[in-house]
Amino acid sequence: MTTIADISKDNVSKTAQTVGDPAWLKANRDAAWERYSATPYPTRKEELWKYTDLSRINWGKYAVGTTENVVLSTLEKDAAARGAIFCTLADALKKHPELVQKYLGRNTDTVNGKYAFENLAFTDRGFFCFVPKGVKITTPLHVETQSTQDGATLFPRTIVVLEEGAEATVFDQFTSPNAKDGVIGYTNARVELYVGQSARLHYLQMQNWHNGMLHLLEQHAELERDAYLSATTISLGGHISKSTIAAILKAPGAVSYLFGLGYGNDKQQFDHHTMQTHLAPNTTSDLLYKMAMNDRARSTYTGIITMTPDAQKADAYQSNKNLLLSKTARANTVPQLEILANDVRCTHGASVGTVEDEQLYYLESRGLSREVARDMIVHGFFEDLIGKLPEETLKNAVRKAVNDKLGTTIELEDIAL
Amino acid sequence: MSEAIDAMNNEIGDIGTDYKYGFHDKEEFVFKSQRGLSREVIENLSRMKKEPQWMLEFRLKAYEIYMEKPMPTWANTELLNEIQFDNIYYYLRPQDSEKKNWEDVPEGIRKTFDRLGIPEAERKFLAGVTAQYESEVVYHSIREDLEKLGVKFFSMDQGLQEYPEIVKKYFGTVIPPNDNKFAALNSAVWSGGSFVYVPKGVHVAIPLQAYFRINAENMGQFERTLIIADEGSSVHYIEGCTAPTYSSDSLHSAVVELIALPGAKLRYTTIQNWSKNVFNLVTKRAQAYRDATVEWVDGNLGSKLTMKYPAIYLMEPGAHGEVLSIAFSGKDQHQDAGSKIIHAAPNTTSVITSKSISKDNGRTTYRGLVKVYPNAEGCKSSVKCDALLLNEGSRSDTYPTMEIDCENVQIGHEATVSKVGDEQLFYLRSRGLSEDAAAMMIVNGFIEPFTKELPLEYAVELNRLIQLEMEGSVG
Repeated sequence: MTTIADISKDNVSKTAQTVGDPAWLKANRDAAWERYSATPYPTRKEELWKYTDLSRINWGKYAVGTTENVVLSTLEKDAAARGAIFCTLADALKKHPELVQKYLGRNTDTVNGKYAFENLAFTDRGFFCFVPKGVKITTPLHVETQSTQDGATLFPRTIVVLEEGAEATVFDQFTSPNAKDGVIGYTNARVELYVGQSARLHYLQMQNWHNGMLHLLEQHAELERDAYLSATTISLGGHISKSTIAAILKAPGAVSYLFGLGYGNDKQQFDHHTMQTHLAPNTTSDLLYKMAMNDRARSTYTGIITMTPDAQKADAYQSNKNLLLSKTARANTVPQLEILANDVRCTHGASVGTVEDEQLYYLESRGLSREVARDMIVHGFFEDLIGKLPEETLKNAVRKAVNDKLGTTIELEDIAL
Repeated sequence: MSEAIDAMNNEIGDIGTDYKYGFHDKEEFVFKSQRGLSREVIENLSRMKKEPQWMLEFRLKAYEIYMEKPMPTWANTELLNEIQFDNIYYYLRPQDSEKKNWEDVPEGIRKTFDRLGIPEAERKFLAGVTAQYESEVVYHSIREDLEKLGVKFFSMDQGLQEYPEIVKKYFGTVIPPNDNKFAALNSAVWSGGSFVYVPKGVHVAIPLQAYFRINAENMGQFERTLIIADEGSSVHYIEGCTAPTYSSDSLHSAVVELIALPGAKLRYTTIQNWSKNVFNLVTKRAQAYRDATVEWVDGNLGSKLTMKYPAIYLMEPGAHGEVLSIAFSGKDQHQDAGSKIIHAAPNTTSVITSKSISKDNGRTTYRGLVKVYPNAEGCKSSVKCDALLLNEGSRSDTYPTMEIDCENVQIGHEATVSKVGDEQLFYLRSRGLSEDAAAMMIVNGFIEPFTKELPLEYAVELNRLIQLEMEGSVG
């Protein structure tokens, strides 16, 4: 059995064979492999890895070449007839190789160094969503990437392309249905979102893996003129979960919303790094990340707004709010600004607090137990963020996942507004 | 009304772009050490100062640490690497001994101070002036009533000679030499600075002031200040800097240690206006014990690169820390300032207010840390950073870090970056002000929370300096 610890160039070829690579993709993998093997693992001395320490991970426990399910919902017939594509990456490579080649790996930005090259070399699953000019897909597209096997390794890749004026809602979920207790796994995912001129993309990503998962994810979104993106990241599972989320506003009028929600218990560690990069004038970005940590869980948020000298009249906001639910829970927050244009509006805020006794007392005086009262407050804490999601079905999916994780007796109907 | 405005506009128009205090006197030295640093330089320095053996050992150990420590790999490394450590004089002494009366101070030095308009106008109001010219104290006087109260206010060198036991007890305890490379350098070659000890229960009504100056070319200034406010006492210390302009770079690397014992209140005010070739890399840190309060009021206008993060360690319950700072970066300047608050005990509180203005290609950076240790319950901290960008090409960065390891706390951070609002400018111009005068007024309003905390003469001086910097800045 080959593991991450003794992975070699052979595994690149094997993966390429399994996925059914065209020659260009194999060449990309080989190039990524060279960079992967030449790059050392990041250490805690690096700013972005200061709070997440992977030096004690035993890479020998994760076997490569895992096959697990990727389940896709069905594309509306109308949209399909007008040229929209929604299929697994392997299918897309077979049926639409030119189109995939145009976008796959177009964005080569890497923040996570070695880990990013690892995904580029070993991409083994994922999906391709393409919405041509002017096509609007009304039903949310749902993808479930599953992992339940012990010692599984996954390198998923998500590619979503919206051409000019296109619209779509994508629900990208990482989940472990009925996974046994004690299983472990490793996921290293990459997400590339291309939002064309005047296109509108709602992208909701939720990971509710089993608690043995080590989850790394790097996401890059590129926005063209007047494009609109709402990208939400929900982090619930895994023992270590580190997500890097970037929105690059490339042309005037682009608008980006980044939302994040995390609930941690036990010894879970969450690390979210966000980038709002304004390259053009009159661009707007907004960000809200809300994290609630219980038990010994820890949340780290680092985020940066960058405004280049060209980004005049840009407007950006960034907010990270943390709720600590136990004496041993922790939160680190590092919201950063780098502003190189003068005619801009840029604001950020961060807070760390706890559940107030008055709130608990009020709810208890209405007959709720302390536990239920506290869970209600957590739901309330998340509700303004959930309210920003586009579809009622998606809102409820998130509410249910949070409620399941809280493990309360609260009925979903009681919290859905 | 319009005449007054014309006069104001004229005044603003007259202001030159040259550094106002950019004259310099001929160098007159009794002793000038060699460029560069070695064990011999330190041994010589310590011998000339007739220091106790433990201080020499402290210096030599610090020197070893300095040699081992790498340069910081963060902040503006490009500028940092320009420093030529071997080209610096590490110790200079302009006179043989300290002079008690102003009249005894050499005329060349007195002239420099006169041109800055300091002593004649303010001397009477000052509690004690420690004017640091070159590396050592040349003028030193303490008003009699302070002496009667038992307040000890000396140069650091004199403090070491007269109160070695107090110095030995506290020196280097807040900032040990191994804290960072520049603290180690200062520990090895420190010279001058102030030593203040305020006895139990004594309230010093008048601010204690000291002016520090750099004059010789390529001359490092490594002053060392230690202020101890004993139980229940209160004191306000003011340090201000102006320095003549020189062509080659010079290094200022101070260490300031403050200790506020239980119930004490200690405020430290600095306005640095080093000439724009100075590297200002200082380490400032305070410890606040039970129910004590420490306040840093910190203004950064000058220097080429400033890296300064006044820190407060809240050691015991009830301690309170405040940092209020402004930074102004003009052409080719980088003010990398901020603050650090460590909540090491329950029920401690802190407030950080930071204001920054960037002009031309100037860059301001706020870099801060709020840390709450486990068990430090009931802590409250609020951080607010506002930045104004005046031109295209100016830059502002905000890097706050919050590490919260305790549940029952309230921590908040807010920051905004914006330019002078068009509506604000339009309103003021519709009232007859020129664009420059309007911008000046808006900037004055922006830094008002800072200036109102300063003694009057400082507030006036600060406004004058900002006015100088602001000329023709609306873009």
